[in-house]
Formats: sequence, C-alpha cells, structure tokens
Amino acid sequence: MFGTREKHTLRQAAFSREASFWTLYEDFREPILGLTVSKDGVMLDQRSNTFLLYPTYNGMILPYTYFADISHLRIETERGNVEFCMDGIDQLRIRGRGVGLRMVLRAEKPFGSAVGCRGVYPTPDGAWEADFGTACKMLFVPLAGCFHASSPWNLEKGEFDSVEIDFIPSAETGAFESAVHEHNDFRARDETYALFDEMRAKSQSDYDSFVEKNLKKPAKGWEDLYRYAAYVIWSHRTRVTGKFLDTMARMHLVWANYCMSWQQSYNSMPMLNNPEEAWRLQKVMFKYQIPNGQIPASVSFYDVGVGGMQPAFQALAFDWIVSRCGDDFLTAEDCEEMYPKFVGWLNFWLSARNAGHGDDRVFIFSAHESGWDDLSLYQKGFPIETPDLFAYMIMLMDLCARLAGKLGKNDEAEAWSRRSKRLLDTLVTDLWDGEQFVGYLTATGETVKCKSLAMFQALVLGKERLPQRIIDELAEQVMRPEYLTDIGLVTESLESPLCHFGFNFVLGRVVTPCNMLTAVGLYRCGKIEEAREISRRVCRNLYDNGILLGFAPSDTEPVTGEPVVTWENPTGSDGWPWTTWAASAALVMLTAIME
Amino acid sequence: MIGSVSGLDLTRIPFGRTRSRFMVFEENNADREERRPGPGKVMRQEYPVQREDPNDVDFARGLYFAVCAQGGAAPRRRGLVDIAPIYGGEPIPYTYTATPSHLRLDTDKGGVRIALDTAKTMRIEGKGVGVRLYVKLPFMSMMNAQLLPSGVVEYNLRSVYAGGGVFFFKKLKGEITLDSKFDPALNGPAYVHAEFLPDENGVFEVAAYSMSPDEWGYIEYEDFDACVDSAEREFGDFLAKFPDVGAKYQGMKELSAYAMWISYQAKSSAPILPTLKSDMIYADMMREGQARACEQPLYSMALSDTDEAVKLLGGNLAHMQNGMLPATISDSTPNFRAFPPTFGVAALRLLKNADAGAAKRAADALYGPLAEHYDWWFKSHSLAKDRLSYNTRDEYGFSASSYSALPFPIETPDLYAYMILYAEALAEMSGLVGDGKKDGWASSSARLLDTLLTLWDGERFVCQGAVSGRRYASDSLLAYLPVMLGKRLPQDIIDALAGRLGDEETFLSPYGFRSESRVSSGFDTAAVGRGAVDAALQMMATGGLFDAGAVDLAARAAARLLTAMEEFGARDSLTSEGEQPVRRPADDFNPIGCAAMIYLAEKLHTCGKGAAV
Repeated sequence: MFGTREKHTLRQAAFSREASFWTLYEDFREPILGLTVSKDGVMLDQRSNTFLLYPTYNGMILPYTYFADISHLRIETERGNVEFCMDGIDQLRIRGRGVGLRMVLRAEKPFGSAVGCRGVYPTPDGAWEADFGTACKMLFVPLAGCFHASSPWNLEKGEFDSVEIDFIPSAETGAFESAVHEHNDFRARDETYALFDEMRAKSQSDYDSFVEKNLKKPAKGWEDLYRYAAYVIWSHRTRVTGKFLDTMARMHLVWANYCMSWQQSYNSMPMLNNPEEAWRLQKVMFKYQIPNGQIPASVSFYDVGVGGMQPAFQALAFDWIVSRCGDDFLTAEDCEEMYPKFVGWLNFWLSARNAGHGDDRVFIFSAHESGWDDLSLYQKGFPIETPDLFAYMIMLMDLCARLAGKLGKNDEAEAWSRRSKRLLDTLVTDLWDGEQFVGYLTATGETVKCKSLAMFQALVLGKERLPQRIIDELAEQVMRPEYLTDIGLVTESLESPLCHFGFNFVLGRVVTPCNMLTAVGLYRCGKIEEAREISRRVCRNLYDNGILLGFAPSDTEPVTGEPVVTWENPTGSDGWPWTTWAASAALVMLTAIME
Repeated sequence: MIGSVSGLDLTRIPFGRTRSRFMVFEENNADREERRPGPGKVMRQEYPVQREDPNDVDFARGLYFAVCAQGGAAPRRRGLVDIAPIYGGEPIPYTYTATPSHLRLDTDKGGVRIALDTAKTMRIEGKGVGVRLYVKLPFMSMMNAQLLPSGVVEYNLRSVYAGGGVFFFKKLKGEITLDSKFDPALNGPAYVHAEFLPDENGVFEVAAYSMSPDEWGYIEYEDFDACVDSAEREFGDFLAKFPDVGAKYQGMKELSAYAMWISYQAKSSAPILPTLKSDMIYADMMREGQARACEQPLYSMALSDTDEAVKLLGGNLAHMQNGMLPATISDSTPNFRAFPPTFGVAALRLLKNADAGAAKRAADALYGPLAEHYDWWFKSHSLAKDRLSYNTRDEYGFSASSYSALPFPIETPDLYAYMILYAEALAEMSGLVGDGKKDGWASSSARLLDTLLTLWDGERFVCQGAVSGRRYASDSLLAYLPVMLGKRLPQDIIDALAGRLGDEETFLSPYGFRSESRVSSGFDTAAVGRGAVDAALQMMATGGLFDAGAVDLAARAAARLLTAMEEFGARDSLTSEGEQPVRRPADDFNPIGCAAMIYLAEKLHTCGKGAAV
C-alpha cells in the first residue's frame, strides 16, 4: 500500500492506527523512516521526540526498503526485517528477525536538537523509560533479545549529544521484540503482552470493520485511492484520552495534531453506511460547548481551543447525510439531548454575530470564522455578511426545526422553519446581485464582490431551497475555464488579479475540501454530471500526487507568469499531506458523487 | 535601593493584581542593550517594530499592556499591546506612577488611570487625553481585531504563534476607533491600531475583558474608585499574612509580597476540562508563565498565615495522576516529571508554627495525597530497597548543576534529605489524622537517614550511581542540602557542612551561598545551579543552618543575600559575584526570590543577629 516500491509512500501518508499516537513516516529530505509520538501541534522537523530508524547487523547500519499496509510496517534488508504494529491504546510493538534496529533521536540541525529528551533510565520494574517532557514518555519493555541505550550528556550544552537505542537480536534465535508504551505521567509495564501477530490482526480487523460499517463502496476503478483515503481517516481517529472526550478525527499526525471543530463534520460526510456514526461526529464538539452556546475551535490531547471558533458546519453535514440516508437514525433521546444544544449554538450566532438589522442576518468578525482564511471577499474588512454564513444558518435552523418536530414541539419547529425561509429569502435577494452571490459590509452598507469559489458554496442548500435560476447561473459559471482546471476548481478565479498559487490558502490553489463542497452543492442541486466531472479531476490528481489539502494547478502564476514560489514540505501549508480534511473530502467524492 | 510599593518601577516589576493575567510593564529593551531609564520617566518615541521573531527586536520604550501567556519559556513578547496617551491624534510624553491599586499616566494635557477590576477585567479612564493601543501582527498568525457593535473592540491575539489572549475593550464613555485592515495577500491584518478618545466632556472610560463574551452587554465592572479601593484592601490583606521582618526590610517585604500577590494565579476559569485546577503562584509573570511545583511549598514557608500556607503547599496536589505530580503547571500543558520533594521541609515548618486546630486542618487536607505522592517515588525512582535516585537531570531542580556531569540514575544527598523530612512530616500528619501509620512513616524516615549516612565519606556527602554503585564527590551546593536536617545529623557532620559552607573560597559569596563551590571546575558565577546564588537553595541551606544551630553563619549568609536583593531585586537567581546581568524588563522580582527574602528576613529578625552582621 505504501512503500519504497509502491505508488504511494509514507511521505504521502503516515503509518499509524486508530486510537494510537504512534506515527511512522518517511522523511521529506532523505529516504529514511522516522518514528514519533504525536500529541501536539509541533511541526515534524521541530519535534523533540522523533527517532530515525536504522536496521543493523552486528552493529552496522544496513540499507533498506519498506512496505506498509493497513496493519503493519516492515523494513526489509538483505539480512532480515523489522516490523512494527500498534495496539489501540498506547503500545508500539517492534519485532526484528535476523537484524537489529537502531533508533536515533533526530538531533542534528536543521531538525532541532536532542534537548527534547530529558533522560533515558531504567525503571524499578525492569523496563527503560525515555522522558520527552510534555511531548511524552516512552516505556521500553524488552520481550525478546535486548536493547542498549546510549545517551552521552553534553555538560556545556546541557543536553544530550545524541540518544540512541539499539535493539539487539538474541544470539540463539536471531530475533528481538519489544513493546514500547507512550504515556505522559506514570506507567508501569503490563503483566502480559499479546503476540505481535495478534496485535497486527486486530489492527486489520479494526480497519476492516471501520470501513465496512461506515463507508460505502467507491466508484469502480477508484479502489486504491479509496483505501488510501479510508486509511488516512481511520488512522487519525483518537481514543478517549487527554482532552478527547470521544473518538474524534485529528487534522494531521505530525503537525497541527488538532481535532478541528468543523472538520469533525467534514469527517462525518462520507459515513453514508452508518448515519449514526456521522451524527455522532456532528455532535461530538457539543461535548465542549460552553454556556453561551459557543463551540471551541479545536481540541487536542492537551488543549481545548476556546479562544476562537469555526463555522457552524454541523448542519451542512447533517443536511447532506439526511439527504442521502433519511433521518431514521435520530432517536428520541438524541433529539432530547441535542435540540437545546443546537439551539444554543444557533442562538450564539444569531445574537453574538447578529448584524443588527432586526432580523436573523449574521456576520463574521474574522476570516477564521468562515474557514476561508484568506478569501478575497474580505479585502474590504469586517464584520461582513456572507452567503456561506447565511447558508450555514439556514441549515442550522432547519436542523433545529427537524429536531423540534421529532420532539413534538411543532410550534418551535414551525418557527424555525419560518425563520429559515426568511433568511433564505434574504440570501437570494440581498446577497444575490443577479449574477453572483456577494458579501455585505454591515458598517458601511457596501456590497462586496469577488471571484472566489466561496461564492459558490451556497449551492449546498440544494435544489429544495435555491431558485433554479441561481443554480443554473452558478453551475454554468463554475464550470468555466476560469475556475475549472485539469486538477479541479481553483479557489480564486484565474482571471482575478488576486489569484496566485504561492503561499496563500484559498486565494487560488486547488483546495480539496473546497472542491468537495462545490461538488456536493452541485450534486444537491441536481447538477450531477458537473459534480462528477469536478470530482473525477480532483480525485485523479489526488491519486497521482497524494491526498493533500491543496495544489497549484500550474508551475507559473496566472497573473504575473512568474514561477510559483511556495513552501517546501515539511511546513505548515496546504501542501502538507496526511490530512483527514482532504481524505474525507476525497471519500465523499469517491463514494457519493462518482458512484 | 529599589523603590517601593507606593511607586512601583515598572521596568522592574509589572503592575498587576492577584488572580489576574493582565499586566502593564515598561519596556526598555533592557535585555537588548544596557539602558535603563529612571523609574516613571518615559518618552514615547515611535511605533514599535515587532518583527517575526519577537525576541530579537527593539521595542519602542514605554508602557505595554500584556497578559501572562500560559506555559513555557519566553512568553513575554507575545501579544503585547503598546499603550500611549494621545492628544490631537499624536502620542505625547508622559510620566507614570504605579501602586498595587492603580496605574496613573500623567501628561501636560491630562491623565489616564488604569486599574484591574475583577480577575478578568481591566479599567482604563482618561481626562483631557486619549489612549492609543497598537500591535503589529505577524504574517499568517490568525490574529485579528474587530470593532463590534456597542463600541466593543475585540483583540484576538491568541494565535498559535502568539498565545497572547483574547481581549474585549468596551467603551463606557467617549469613542473607540479601530484601524486594522484585512489583507488577503497577508492572510490577515498587518496591525491593530485602536484609539480611545474623550467625549465632549474630555473624558473616556473603557473596560477591558478577557475571553469570550456571552453577549455584548457582558462586561461587568465596578466603579473605578471602588475598584482601586478593593485592590488596595486585597493587597493589604495578603501582606498581613506574612511575618514581621523588622523595620529594615519592611519595604522589601512589601515589594516581595506584591510580586507574590500578582503572581498568584487563579485556577482556570475554562468551562471545559480546565488544566490549572487550583490557585498557584507562578514562577514569574513575564518569562515563564507557569507554576513550578517544587516552589509552591517554599512559598508557603514565607507565610505566617497557616491556612494560606496550606493552600500553597497543597495547591499542586489537585493535578495528581497515578501518584505523579506535574513539575510545572499552567493553563497550558502540564509537565509530569519528578521534582525536588520540598513538601516535607515546608510541612514540618507549617505544623510547627500552627496551633492544634490549624495543624489538624492541614493534616486532613494534605496527608492523603502527600502519602500517595511519597509512595510514587518508590514505585518510580527506587532501584533497590530504601534507596532512591533521580532519573534525569531535570529532577533535582537545577539542571545545569554539576550533578549533570554524573551518570544517571544517581542517588544524591539532597534527595535523601528531602525524603527524610517528607516521611517525618507524614508521620506527624498521620498522628494527627489517626490512621495508625505514624510509626511506619517514622521508620521509613529513619531508614532513609541511615542510607544517607552511608553517603558520608568522612568529609562530605557524596552521590552514588544507582546502577553502578560508584561514588562521586560533588561540589554542588545540592550535596550540602542535608544541612536542612539540622539536629537529626550528628554534630560532627553539621560542623563539617557548616565549615565548608562558610568558607568564602568555596560556597559563601558576597551575596549568599554559591550553588557550586567556587573551586569546582564547573563553577560559573552566573550559572543557575552551578555557581549563581539561587534563591530556593538559600532558603534550604541558610534555613537549615539556622535550624542546625549554626546561627552566626546563617545570619551572615542571610544578611548578604538580603543586601543584594535590596540592590538588584528579589530575583530567583543572582550572580554570585561581580555585576548582575541585565534582565528583561519587569523581571527583577520573582516569587521564589521574594519568598526567600521574607523567609530569611524573618529568621534574621527573630534570631537577634540582624544588627550584628
């Protein structure tokens, strides 16, 4: 699946498994595998707890290739191999046959320093532990063969010069095996350990079960990309630990290791075989809802990001799932529990972000409240009323109406429906200029136009809500060459003077989730072939280049003709792979649009 | 001399309020170049240039509004907001006066007053002049500011890079303007420039609030003068919890108490899964932004109020997981690692000073979790019966100490001393709670004392490799901390320790005890834990000498330290001879230095030797 001789490598996905914080990846600068415990948002080459992996024979480092499937990673040499798998809790299992393994803490510049390791020491129960401060501790338990830790201290620098851990095969069997637990406070070794092959088989069965239970089959011919995307999603799911109160989907594994609020709902959208799971993901951030109704922007192992917030995307995802699966998954208990929570979230927007016209028009204070971080619509400032924001509110009102109806609160249901229709009327009159959706600057009363793909996002309202003339106009516009490239839709028209493919996020580059949203919108509006064409182009590119967030559609800037200059990986850009945000978008296109 | 609480020098100590994360300090780029204006005299020059690396920058000199960024090194220059009085649209020169209750900026055209109201609210009012707030935002930082309805300005400086908090400034009188333009090409605004302008009566008033509002009328605030009065009263109440130190050190005591007061941070108000679960004193507000576990008990030793001391001593226990405590804690990430177990030495002092009722209350509150934590040491740090070792170089509290040259895990005299006192304190508390384990704790303490004495080589205590059994002589002051044990040690050992400590060529410096012997090859006069005079170690070494009966030496060391602190500030660490390093602004009073100052001043005062040294 991933490997030296495979279509995709571990530079395009990370090897991990659901519920584990262990992550193995191939370095971006040299063909070498790294191993880390990833609980924070620290970028790969600034991480303090990354080990590089070297198979050894009699102490000599051997060249190797590798292969990873769903359940295990195998390093292969001429002398033997080393295998890795994980359990669904805190354990990494390492097994070597014929060769040893040297783990070398990535300490050389520019990758940081060994200062992240604070000590390697024996424990009273016969294991060894490496302490990486807040990043983690690793408890090494020898099961076969032995290991040797070397960590010379540099008195002048006040840190280790290097940290190396050598796993040495038994002289009798030629094999070694070790369990390594990651943890943050105090942990003793387990009394017994499952066999490696049992642990591996459990990983495979857990994945199979996840896919079978939750996902529909992909369009024919797309099985490899489907498995790749499904694996990315499965391997980024958390267990209940730290600040994670439920299973959630992390954005990345070795950078920005956060469960972003709206991305939980993105991750729900492909769960068409299991609307209950989709609904659970749409609900999960409500476990963190604060009394004023607001939902934090993110959750990580360590933190709940209450300083900001993300769009009310839950209702969009809910609307999508209901449009495909119906709403039989809603139980009375669900409705009882969630109705007041959704009303609280909606009312937060309707009050704390009310635009002050005496109705339900709302605005945003910053780009990050829309998810379109550098949208050209915002060039004249904030607060601004936007069509995507209105669409979220309309769907949130409809969601509340549905839940109220299920609870027999018919008056409330009707009231929400009425308000939804009124806001929809406002959207298609006040924020539609006859040709396109526009923004409205509340403070000045100025209408703002732009050439962003965001102006098509209201298509997600579907043909049940949007007038056909608007659907037709938008569908025709978005398929023009100014938006549609060989690899999908650009986020800013190629004819816009602001469009560029360099450092920005949604100011030109082809961004996978934005394409999915447009495809879903077109699909919901009955423009099936348009939706499929976009999806096919996007997915073909994802298969060729990996499941990334964003791509430059050409090597030259559309406005200047200059070569595109962007950050090289690893860096915090949309070119960074291994993201569930893109993988969930890909799965929606593969299983629902291109079916 | 260093000023007083009636005229705080904000280049040396921030203006703040207990349990509040708001601060105002005077930026003088002291850590960039050696320049320090006289207190209270500031001339606004130009807008600051805040580049991408906030630690490599010359800021415009003047007052800055900041929050204590949570957790980790070097947060001082995150999320800073430049404050300047303005008139006619331009910044004007000003002077300032700060007290624990409020900060006043005076200009030729009028004045501005700033007070901290609730823990989350700051109040700003002006007469005759306005105020400009300015901050330059880093590229792609996700920070921004908005002018909201009802005249509220939101500063969202809480990005992954800044961690500077979210603030809402609500106008109560006058006008607020905001200039902060979103630039798509920059992925956000480049700067935030807000002005609070007087109304037709020449007055403006603003309430500043941190974190998310429930609604636009959310900001609760008191009458400005009531707020000033309550801050003054609250500080007075806190000051009364410290012992009498005599007239000579009264001013320093007040400044030190003030620094501890503003560093006392409230448990998290986060509605979900708070990290900081109890009120604790942060190691400092400007630099570190977190509480150090080993220092909380030491802070308690500076107090005369037993109940307050119990709160401090036990503050960290709410964070225990699997018997383990975090060594540092804030509203950010807790760092679970071992730290010097100072609980025993502090608890024994507390129990000794408490009346029967207070001692019982203390035992009821502390005994259970402390016993669990004591046991954890043996589960995690004991490779042989009745033996304990540090696993890493972070665990003894001074990672640069010459201990760090030794192979780890390492058995050290200081660890045994801490644990002997820890077990003894548990024995006393066991007696008070009546769980029948008093003798067991006492026996554990005695066994550890026996083990410690095996590390005496006839001249000094040595360290021992926990795996190899090899012994290592050490010139670290840490190896002399068994002096804390006082009369529990044989007199010849006390005499030997005191003799070495009192030797000016080794440990006794002009400013107190060096953390490393001057004759050690590793000695560095400025290195924390390896030559500098570290406040925490002064408390234990000097305090121990007092208790061991070496009063003359103890008084001499204490007086030297206090004299140095009068000149340089109650710092956590002082260079042991020569010039003191220039520090970041407002970083001259650190709570551990302040606790040492008060603790030793009280010892000096009560031993009657103060005048003689």
